[in-house]
Amino acid sequence: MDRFSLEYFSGNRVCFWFGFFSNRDHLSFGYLFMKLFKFHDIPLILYLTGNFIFFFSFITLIPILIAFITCEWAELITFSFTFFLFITLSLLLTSFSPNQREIKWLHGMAATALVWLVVMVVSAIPLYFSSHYGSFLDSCFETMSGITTTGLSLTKDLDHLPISLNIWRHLLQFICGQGIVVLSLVFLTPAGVGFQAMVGEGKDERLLPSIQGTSKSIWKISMIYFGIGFVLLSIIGLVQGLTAPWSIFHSFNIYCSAWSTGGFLPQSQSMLYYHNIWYEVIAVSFFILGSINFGLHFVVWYKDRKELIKDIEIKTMIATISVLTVFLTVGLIKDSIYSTLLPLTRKGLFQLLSAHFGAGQCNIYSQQFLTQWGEFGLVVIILAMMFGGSASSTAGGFKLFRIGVFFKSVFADIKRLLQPKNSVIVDKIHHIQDIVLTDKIVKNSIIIIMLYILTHLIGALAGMLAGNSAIASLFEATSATANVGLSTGITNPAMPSYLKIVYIITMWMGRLEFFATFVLIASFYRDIKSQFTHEVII
Amino acid sequence: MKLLFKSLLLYLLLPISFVYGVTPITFTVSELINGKQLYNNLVVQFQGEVIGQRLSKTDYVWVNIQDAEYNAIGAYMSREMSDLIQYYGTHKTRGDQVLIEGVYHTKCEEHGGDTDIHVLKLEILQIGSARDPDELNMNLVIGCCILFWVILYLFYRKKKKSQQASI
Repeated sequence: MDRFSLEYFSGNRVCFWFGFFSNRDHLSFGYLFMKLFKFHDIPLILYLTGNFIFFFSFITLIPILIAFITCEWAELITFSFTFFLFITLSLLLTSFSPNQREIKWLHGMAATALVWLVVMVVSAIPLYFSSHYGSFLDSCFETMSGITTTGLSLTKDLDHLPISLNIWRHLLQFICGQGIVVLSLVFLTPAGVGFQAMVGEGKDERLLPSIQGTSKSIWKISMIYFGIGFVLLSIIGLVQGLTAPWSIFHSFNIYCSAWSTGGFLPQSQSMLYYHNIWYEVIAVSFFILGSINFGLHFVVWYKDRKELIKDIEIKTMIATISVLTVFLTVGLIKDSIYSTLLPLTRKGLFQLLSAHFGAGQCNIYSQQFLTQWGEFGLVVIILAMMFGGSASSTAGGFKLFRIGVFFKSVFADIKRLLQPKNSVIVDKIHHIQDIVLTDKIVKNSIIIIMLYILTHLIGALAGMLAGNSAIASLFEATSATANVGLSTGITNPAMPSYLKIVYIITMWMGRLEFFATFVLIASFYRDIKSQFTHEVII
Repeated sequence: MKLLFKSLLLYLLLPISFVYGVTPITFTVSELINGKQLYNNLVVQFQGEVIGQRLSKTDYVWVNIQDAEYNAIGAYMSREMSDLIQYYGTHKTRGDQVLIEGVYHTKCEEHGGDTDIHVLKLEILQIGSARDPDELNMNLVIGCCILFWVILYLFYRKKKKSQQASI
């Protein structure tokens, strides 16, 4: 069987198509695929992808249970189908043998990027069959927006969406906010892969020596906050006159959305539905906590609380919020948008923080950004969205670490110019530990920031092509790429399909911070190219 | 153009409405929002379906009303007035269709800058009802059965393979 060739398959098509039903190893799906195409990296990437989605598939059991309790039988069937499809895909993909080649960084990162695409497509199935989405593309947009914790939505008549589907949307935000791979690594660490896959997902902090320990710590932190947030929000719901089941439903969804800096909420009015300042206060508290680095949470909890005031990300956060708050306040008062302190704080500051930390929750109507806030206010919100939260958190954007590094390097260069020529200056930043500010750190930060800016601009151009104004297009593109979820109204089911695809890609790339997606595209391109050129890949 | 026409009509009719009791114009949420400050503090009519749940335990409550374009707005009304509403729209129920008349606020001073309508008059146009549940998709049921057997087979093969490897 070593002399496998295309001629062999042409004579045994039945064996090929039904190969994976065979008991014979050499006719397994993965084996046939590898022998037929002689790929180098793709089989390993698919194998790892299969491993990662196996554990994620069990998340589908939660909406199945909810659909059963609420007697939503049509949804029960679609979720069951989704669950079976996840498991089948996982088993088929893991039939690719990992022993052919050594697992490298490339494979872990590419698999991470691919997992997000697979999860987007399969998770969209229950939404597609619900009649609340115009097309499968709309459903995919919704799930990509959910898993990347963006929060832009194409749901039609959200206020009548079945409970199990609403729970599914929020669950996707919560689970994927921590990371799909991070979830899988709690249960299993495929040999040789782990940390690179986490880095691919934007979680580059090693909290504990073992990857499994790190993943468990991330989940432990999230679940403790979940307990606190859920209880507080439930109490507010009951005080506001909601019945216990509705209070639980809203608390769960608001918490998932806030902690994961998501942006979905169960009602079309977002936060405006509740008409309650306490819901907003709790949501702000949790999306600020959610946007703080998991590594810093860990250190503050278990080691040293003083780290909270020493960390470069926290210092940068305070600086950017202070500057932007001053700008926004001046802008809103100057244009007489909000004249008294309460609306100014409740609306202005809430929206600023929601934009900065990528939460995307809204306590004004999306059109009001354009019709009331004016261009100055919009630009301040765009800047806030670009900056984003901490690295290794659930937030998107440039990340505070990179902004901190950028400004620190600018100040360091100015300082150097003022010193005598031969003096040696070593600059340090503090992020959990003292780090020497090297050119490599600065270069890496600037590259990522430039990639974000480039993607914002491409997204804005796509929006302008659809006939939207430049400022509204830039707002929407930034919101998608930085995984924020605020909208000026461009994102709606009637927008052109190409724009939906552009936003799906920018959400995906922005969430994975570009490199994992580049590695996936490059490895597929290289493998497919080698089929035609017979190039040997080492 | 439509917005401009409505605005002009509103301004012409509004003073008359108080004197002669002419009904104010019915709006959608988009028209109110896109009208910027135009309709602020004016008496407007709004028609739609009551959705969600009644909020607040005090004498005054919040009820959210959804228009035909699936946009909703908060209506602030007395508890007695809200008692007239029988059905609130959810996945399983179609809420009451109501027509409200009240003062529209772009940035309500009383409610921390919320966009809302303080209801003066509530009329139930149509009482809500239970919604038909979504139909079961038989293709998906068959798909579930097929995938179930495929999974069983794949697990069986995987187990057999690992047994062979251990031998």
